[in-house]
Amino acid sequence: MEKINSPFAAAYLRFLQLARVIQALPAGMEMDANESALLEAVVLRWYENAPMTVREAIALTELGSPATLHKRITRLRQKEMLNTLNQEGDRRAKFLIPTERTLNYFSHLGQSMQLVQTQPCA
Amino acid sequence: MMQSTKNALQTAALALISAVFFVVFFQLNLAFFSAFEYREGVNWVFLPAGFRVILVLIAGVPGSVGIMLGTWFIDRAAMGSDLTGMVLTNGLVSGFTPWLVLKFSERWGVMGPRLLRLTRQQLLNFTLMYAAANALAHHVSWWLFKRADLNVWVDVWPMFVGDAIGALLMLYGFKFILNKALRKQQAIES
Repeated sequence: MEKINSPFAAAYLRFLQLARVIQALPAGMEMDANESALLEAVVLRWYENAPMTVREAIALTELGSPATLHKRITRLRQKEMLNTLNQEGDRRAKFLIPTERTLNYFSHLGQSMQLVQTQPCA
Repeated sequence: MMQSTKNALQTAALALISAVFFVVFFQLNLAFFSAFEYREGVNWVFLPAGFRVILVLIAGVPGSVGIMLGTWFIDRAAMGSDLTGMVLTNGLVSGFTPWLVLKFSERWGVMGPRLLRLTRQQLLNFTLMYAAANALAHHVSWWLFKRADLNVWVDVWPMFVGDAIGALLMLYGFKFILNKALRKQQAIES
C-alpha cells in the first residue's frame, strides 16, 4: 500500500476517521433489545400499510405485559423513534408511526447489511 | 526537493492553523466560562482541552507544536520575567502531553496506529487518559517551578474535571455539527 506523504492529505484522512468515530459517540438515545423488538413490530405493520394502534401494541403479549409495553412506547416516543397519529373522525384510535429518525435508523441497518454482504470473506 | 519543501510548508501551515484554533477557543472559553475559573489557568470547563484532543489526533506533531505556540502566545505577557522557564515548560506540557498519551496508547495497544479501527470507546478512554495526564503534568511542572499558592493534591482535580468536560463538550459539539451537516445533505439529495 502506498504511504501518504502529504501532511494535508494525512490530516484530512485522520479527520474523516475521527469524524466517523465522533458520529458514533453514544448520545443516550440508544434502544435496548426489548425496545428494538417493539419498534420492529410497529414499523413492520406500518410498512404493510396497516399501522398499529397503541391498543394493539400494548396487546403484544409475546413482548411483555400491557403496562410494560405502554412504558416502552412512552420511551420510544421520548427517543423520537415513534409518533402517534389520530384517525380523522375517531380521535380515540391512536396509530403508531415511525419518525424520520427511525427511518434513518432502518436505512443505516440496511446499509450495514449490504456492506457485510459485499465484503469479501477474510 | 520540491516535494519536501511542499511537505514542510504544509506541516508549518498545520501547526499555525492549530495555534490559531487553540488561541481562539481559549479566548472563547474566557468569554463564556470565566465564571467557572478555579484559579488562573485552571477552569472547571476548559473547551481548548477538546481542541487539544482533536488537533493532536488529526494533525499529530504539527498539532502539538501549534498548541505549544498558542500557549506561549497566550502567556506572552510573562515572557522575559522570572516566570519565563515556567511559561516555556507550560507550552511544552500543553502541546505534547496529548501527543505522548497518544503514542503510549498506541504502544500499549489501547489504540491502533494512525487511528486505524478507532472505536468510540477508545476515543473516550483516550480523552479521559489525556485529561488525567494533562492535569498531572501541568501540576508537576508548576510544583517544580514553585508556583505560588499551589496545592498539587487539591488543585489537580479541577483541571482534570475541566479538561474532561471541555473535551467531551467539544467532541459532542463536533458530533452535533456533523449530524446537522449530514441531515442537510440528505435533505438536499432527497
